Amino acid sequence: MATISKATVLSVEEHGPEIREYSLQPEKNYYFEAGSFLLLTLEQKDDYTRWPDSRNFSIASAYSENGTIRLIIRKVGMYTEKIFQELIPGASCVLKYAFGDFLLPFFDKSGDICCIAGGTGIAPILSFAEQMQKQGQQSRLQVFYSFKNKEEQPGLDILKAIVPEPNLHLFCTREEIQGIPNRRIVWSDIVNSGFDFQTAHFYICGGEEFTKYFVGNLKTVQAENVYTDEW
Amino acid sequence: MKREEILELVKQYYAEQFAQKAFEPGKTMIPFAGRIFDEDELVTLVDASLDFWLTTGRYAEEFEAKFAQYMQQRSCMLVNSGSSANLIALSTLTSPLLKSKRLKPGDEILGVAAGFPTTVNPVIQNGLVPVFVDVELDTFNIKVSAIENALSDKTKAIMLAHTLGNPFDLDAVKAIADKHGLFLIEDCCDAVGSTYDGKMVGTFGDLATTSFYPAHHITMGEGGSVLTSNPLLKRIATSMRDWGRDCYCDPGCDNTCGRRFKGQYGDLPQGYDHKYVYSHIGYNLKVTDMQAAVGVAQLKKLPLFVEMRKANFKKLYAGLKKYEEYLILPEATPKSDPSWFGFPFNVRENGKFTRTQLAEFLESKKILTRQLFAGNMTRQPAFKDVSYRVVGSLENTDYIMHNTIFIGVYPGIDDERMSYILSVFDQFFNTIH
Repeated sequence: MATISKATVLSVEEHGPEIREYSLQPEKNYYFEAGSFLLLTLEQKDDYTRWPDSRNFSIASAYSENGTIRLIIRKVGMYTEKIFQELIPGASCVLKYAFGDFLLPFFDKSGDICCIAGGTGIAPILSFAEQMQKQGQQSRLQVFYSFKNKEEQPGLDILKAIVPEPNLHLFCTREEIQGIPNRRIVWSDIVNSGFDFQTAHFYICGGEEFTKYFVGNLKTVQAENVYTDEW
Repeated sequence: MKREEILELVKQYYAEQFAQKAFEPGKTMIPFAGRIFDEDELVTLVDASLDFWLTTGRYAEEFEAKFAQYMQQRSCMLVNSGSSANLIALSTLTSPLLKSKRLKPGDEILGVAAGFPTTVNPVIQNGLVPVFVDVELDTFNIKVSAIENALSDKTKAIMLAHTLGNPFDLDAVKAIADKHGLFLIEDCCDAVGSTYDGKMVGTFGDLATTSFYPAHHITMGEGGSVLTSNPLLKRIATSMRDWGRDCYCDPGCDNTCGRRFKGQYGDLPQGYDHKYVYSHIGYNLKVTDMQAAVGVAQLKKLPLFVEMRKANFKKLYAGLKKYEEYLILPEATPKSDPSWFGFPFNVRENGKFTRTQLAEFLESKKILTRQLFAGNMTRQPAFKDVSYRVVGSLENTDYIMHNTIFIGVYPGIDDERMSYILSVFDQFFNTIH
């Protein structure tokens, strides 16, 4: 069963006006898989009744002994605006975790793991990176990450610290940054990286069009293991 | 009336109704197993019933998380019995989500015939073929030297119980499973708290099962669990338990994934309600929160229960060692530290008495005995029309069927009862000398 737990906001980091990175400390710290998502409600629920209005967010960190959970939240509507207003350091919310199928390979211990993420879609990939580092397998990761501009690049420090430099492919879509292509990720970026499409695992996390584009191309090469996390 | 007042009354009720009665040798029954509880179990049970959530809720959440931690696993799924847990564990391996690794009808599952039938029944229920090899007389577990000969190109999994809490040779069995790419299911229904090489049983295989029937190490009345650290197996096992549905919403929740009306599954129309999409031919084997509530209170006592079982086993072993001329005493598997379910022994075939005569004597003195469950399963009426394969002889399995009994080591056996049990054995052996 999922765990329902109150959580306290430890810190909030802004990545431009629309994106915030939250560090939360849940009261209950139970294991969750890297890549899972949770439900967050601002209602101070303390009984086991019907779950109230909430929003889903990918967990942007791997399970840790100290229990801290990181979330990356983009302001997209009234509920996330309310989150931005109310969730300040010291404030509390209620979490229900963990869910989802966007998880690391279950049996394969050696195949390449290709992660393709756009914007806040990087959240579960950060969780993967931390988990793979714990297992000493970060060299299996190839990360393709596109963001809008210098401000909106949550998690980049974490990726740079974990993913080997040649395996980290960055793209900035709306601003010139030295050393980073000023464009979207395109299919040839993936093809030219030399993956074996039968054995590699492809994780795609971004908007609907973004996901469709890569899933469609992966189908044309009969990629065996394709996972999507679309919001 | 406040809930606290009700719960306070429950404590009073416990004190009045369940006060322990004095032990009277020869009159008070000493069962082979029994539930041990105090006011805590009654309080959590009533507390859960007052929630009136009924299906799995806060207590199930707490039990699953804490029991998984205790068993050193990443996840635990509660089911309504240990037998259901075995059914779910084996059925999980038939899932199409496992692609080429899935078990298909006709595939063979290696096991033993000496044990409880519902370790084997799920194999038959899934259209698979059980393959039996013999067991050792002192550990009551699989004879590992017989395994390699029993494998065929159809063998896909090994499913074994840690007999009466005694772990089977996990080094050897795991090595064979890994070498041949076989799944391993550990039936830990009688072995909660047993360790092998310092690790909890259940952590060596792909899936593990436990039972919480009143005879077991802890109870919730009817109950059991499936444990795994593999998230895909967890996902499939949960689906198998919950009608085979694809959706993973907890009871009382809708649209957890946020895509309830967005997906396309099988040949169903686009947007068909995910709540009613079925990816497996499943069951409904869930528990209620009231059962889980009893389990939460029991779980706190589990470490003590395990120690008491181990201590009682040692006392019986020490007390019966002098009768080894007549009894084959149980031996813990090397590298293991069993949390014994009972104290099993074989009565050596001798000209003076039989297993039945000893059992009848013990029972006449109010010491309850049990045989090793189904004995040799292949000789049970239920197996008459079942397809199975036997490799080598089941000589020891037959010996166990004829000569094994076990008595209790459960925490309800205190020093007074233990002394009485040993004195009854002395009486018996005095009569035959």
